Amino acid sequence: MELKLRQIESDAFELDVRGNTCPFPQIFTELALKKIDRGRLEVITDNPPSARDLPIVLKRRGYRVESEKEGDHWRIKIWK
Amino acid sequence: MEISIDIGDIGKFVGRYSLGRDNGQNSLHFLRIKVPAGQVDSDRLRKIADLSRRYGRGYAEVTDRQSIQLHWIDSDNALEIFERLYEIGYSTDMCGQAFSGACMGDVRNIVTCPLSGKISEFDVSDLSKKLTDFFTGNPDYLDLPRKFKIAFTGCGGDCVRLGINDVGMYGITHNGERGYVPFVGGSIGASFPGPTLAKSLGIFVPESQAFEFVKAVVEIHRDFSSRESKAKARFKNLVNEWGTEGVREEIERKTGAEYERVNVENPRPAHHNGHGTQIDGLYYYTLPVLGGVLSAEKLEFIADMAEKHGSGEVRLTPEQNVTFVDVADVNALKRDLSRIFEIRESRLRYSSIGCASDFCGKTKEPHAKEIMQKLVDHCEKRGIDDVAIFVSGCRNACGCHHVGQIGLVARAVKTERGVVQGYDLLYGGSFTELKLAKVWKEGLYGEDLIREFEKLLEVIRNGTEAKAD
Repeated sequence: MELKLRQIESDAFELDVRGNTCPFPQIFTELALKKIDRGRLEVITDNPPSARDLPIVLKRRGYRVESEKEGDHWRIKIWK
Repeated sequence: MEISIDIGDIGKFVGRYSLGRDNGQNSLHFLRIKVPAGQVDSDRLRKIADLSRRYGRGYAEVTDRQSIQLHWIDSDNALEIFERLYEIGYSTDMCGQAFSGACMGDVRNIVTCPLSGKISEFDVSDLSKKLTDFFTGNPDYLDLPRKFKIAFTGCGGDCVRLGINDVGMYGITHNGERGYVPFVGGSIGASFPGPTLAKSLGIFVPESQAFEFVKAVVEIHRDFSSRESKAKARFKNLVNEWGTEGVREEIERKTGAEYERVNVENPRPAHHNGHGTQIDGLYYYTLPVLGGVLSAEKLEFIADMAEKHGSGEVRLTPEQNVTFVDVADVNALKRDLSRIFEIRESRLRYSSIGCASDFCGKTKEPHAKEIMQKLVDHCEKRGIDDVAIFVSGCRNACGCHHVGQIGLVARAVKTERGVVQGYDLLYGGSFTELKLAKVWKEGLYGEDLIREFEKLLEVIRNGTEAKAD
């Protein structure tokens, strides 16, 4: 399985984890955050439990997180 | 610019493991461990007990699809848990029902006669396990329009609720040959076109062709069931649309086989409660576990007893009980079991089932298992122990209320004092007769529920259900 982090702005990256059930969106987000020194990570998930859990878990780790619904998926923005 | 992320060893878990969403009892996630064919040895049972103790507050429950479900799982521990399951060769349900669309459905634990190979030579568990191996983690079958449920029985009757499965394989011997009469399109959840029991395809599938047959049915679901919406995506909708004739034709086209036509419309009833003799002269004994509720300690104790009194293997049953096999002395086993379990061998305790609505958050108090316990206690106080109560916490019907002799399904009821947890009371369902239950009375709670339950019991005991219709 291939996971790609796409640069969308000079200091922002996007990770599309659609089609993955819980807990993989969380696990992949954590791997992606390790790849980013600083900036914003935007995670796209269509898995409702992950959309619920990701902000909780990431805020617990001290990240600033915003989540918004975009049609059939969520975009979760994380600042590192 | 794109940056590749190496997921390393985690890749082996993708498509094989998932956490389900809980929303009750302060649990956020459950882990539904598939036990292939419901057969588990003492070593694996102890390892699941260890998982329960380390990660799930020592709680465990047997589901009505022969899985073991743990709760209070912290997603931070998921990889450790998956590694432990991977080591013992177990996987989990993929829980794709959380997606809002018609996608990511997987083949659920294949329900299998708990006495497969023990009371008749027809051992259907080999095929059940072979299919489990084939579908688990197989990328071609991980994005079905919706989940797919399979059941196998070979004991001569229906001990697995064939009729509520997408495909239920009823094992028979026909003209001296072993094989199956398939029932298709069962699903009693609320999805379109509503609660539906499977219909016989009226064909005989020889044992040697059954693997290809089931594979073909799953592929037909994958390729032709509606992806328009989640509500329309269960296989029953396609069967309803095509008819059994159309489904049979497509299966025959796909497999290239022409199956012999047979006239089997209903499976025979069967259960494996109490104890009995195996074909090898040893015994089986089924321990009643109301609602399937166990603990790490009890799982370990069951493992110890399975080793002490039998071959070390137990079978989980579709009625949430535990069957010990290869037992030399049933009385000695029961004496030992009674140190931990209160053993009451009645149909009421063996055959009543209840879903985990306390964890999924679909009910407030009284939850499905609580109301089941309350009604069981109520029956026992009145000396009634020959009825079965199936309780679901919602219209998804995990507690199979539609096929219960007595069924209950939760619904919120508005009262002057606010919204309370009520239940609809149903009666007269039968999975072997392929008969859906009828509503006795809706929206009952508190003393009214008990009163109506009493009246229903009276009608059942008098054998006057037909007059009540």
